Amino acid sequence: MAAADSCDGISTSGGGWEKTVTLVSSDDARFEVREAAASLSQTVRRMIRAGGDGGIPLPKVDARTLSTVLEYCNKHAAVPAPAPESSSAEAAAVDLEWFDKELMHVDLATLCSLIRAADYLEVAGLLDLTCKTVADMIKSKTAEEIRQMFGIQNDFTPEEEEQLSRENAGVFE
Amino acid sequence: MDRLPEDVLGEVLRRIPPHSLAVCRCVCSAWRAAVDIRRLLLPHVLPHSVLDHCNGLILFGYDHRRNLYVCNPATRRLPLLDNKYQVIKTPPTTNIEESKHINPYLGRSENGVHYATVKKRELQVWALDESGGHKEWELKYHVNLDVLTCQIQSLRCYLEQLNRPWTISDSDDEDEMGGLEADSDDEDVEEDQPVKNGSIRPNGYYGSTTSLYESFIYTPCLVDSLTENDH
Repeated sequence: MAAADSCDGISTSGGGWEKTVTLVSSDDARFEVREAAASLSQTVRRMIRAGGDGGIPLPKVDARTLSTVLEYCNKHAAVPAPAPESSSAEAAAVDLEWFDKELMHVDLATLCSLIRAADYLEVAGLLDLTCKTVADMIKSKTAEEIRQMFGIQNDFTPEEEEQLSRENAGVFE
Repeated sequence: MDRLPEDVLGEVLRRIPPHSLAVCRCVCSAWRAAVDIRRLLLPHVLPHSVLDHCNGLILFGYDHRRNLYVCNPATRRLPLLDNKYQVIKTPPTTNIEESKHINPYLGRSENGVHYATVKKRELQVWALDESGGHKEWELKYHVNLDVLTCQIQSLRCYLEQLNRPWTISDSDDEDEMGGLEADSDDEDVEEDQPVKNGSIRPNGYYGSTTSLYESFIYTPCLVDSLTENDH
């Protein structure tokens, strides 16, 4: 993305006047975003209010992840206020759902980065979307399959294993 | 690589249905802790199946009530911080088909936790024996309520009397109530003190009836609810 030429992260864009802010990723990439989109992140919204020069630093998010997060924010902030029962609102909702689905077609490592970013940036919609996606991947798997998925070592002692199977006796019957 | 921080892992886990959550507890100690510390499993398991609760224990049913369980969310002998939970199966019912029609209750008396079922007109009461680290159900009562319903008819007239205002007891009744001392000093005091329903309790109350009978005397509303279950 183009480096922002803005002062205080505010500039004009396109045909109309619209406030934008500049976000800076952990690897120093700069993203110029409409303020309406960036404000879907509660973390960014607070930092905009606090003010500052030279863009908003986001040291916990790398450029690749941030660009996906902003893709989500741009799409979702563009949706007009819902006019219930109008056919266009319904179409927009379907379009958004399709967009979300496509956005989640990534590998687990990327998904986990997105979850961490959504959590840090406090983008509630994206956090829900990504967590749901991972939850769906987990929910039909066995414990061993989940360990393989995440590269986790089984660190239970035999006694703990036994305790677990006792505790789960009622659940699995 | 894909490790999720503890709080983020919690966000994922709270979107997982109960059966899978039970699997997730078995992945590793960090995942087990993430489930337990948020008490995720219980709220997920319970809303659709809680039948009764008492004293921190919960009675819940699986599979359309075919399996009933008493769950102890925090084993009482351990500190709450441990977030332990334990599932205790309820006493076996005679027949799976019948078990759909029973009405289970969980209660606590001074002797511990009790589990009761009313099946048609049969009342069964078990006590939970928690001694020796094991939890076992011990059948305490197995009563046919037909007998009770007959007694209820005769109780009705007493119930009317039970609603009477407080009365001054007379000395004859005090004798019946189990040998209160009858020396003159005591009588002087008692004549001034109203004793609730002192003169109108059924004769059998202190006599040969079961303790079950005793409890119904005090809870006429429960008697009504039991008879309603006959249909």
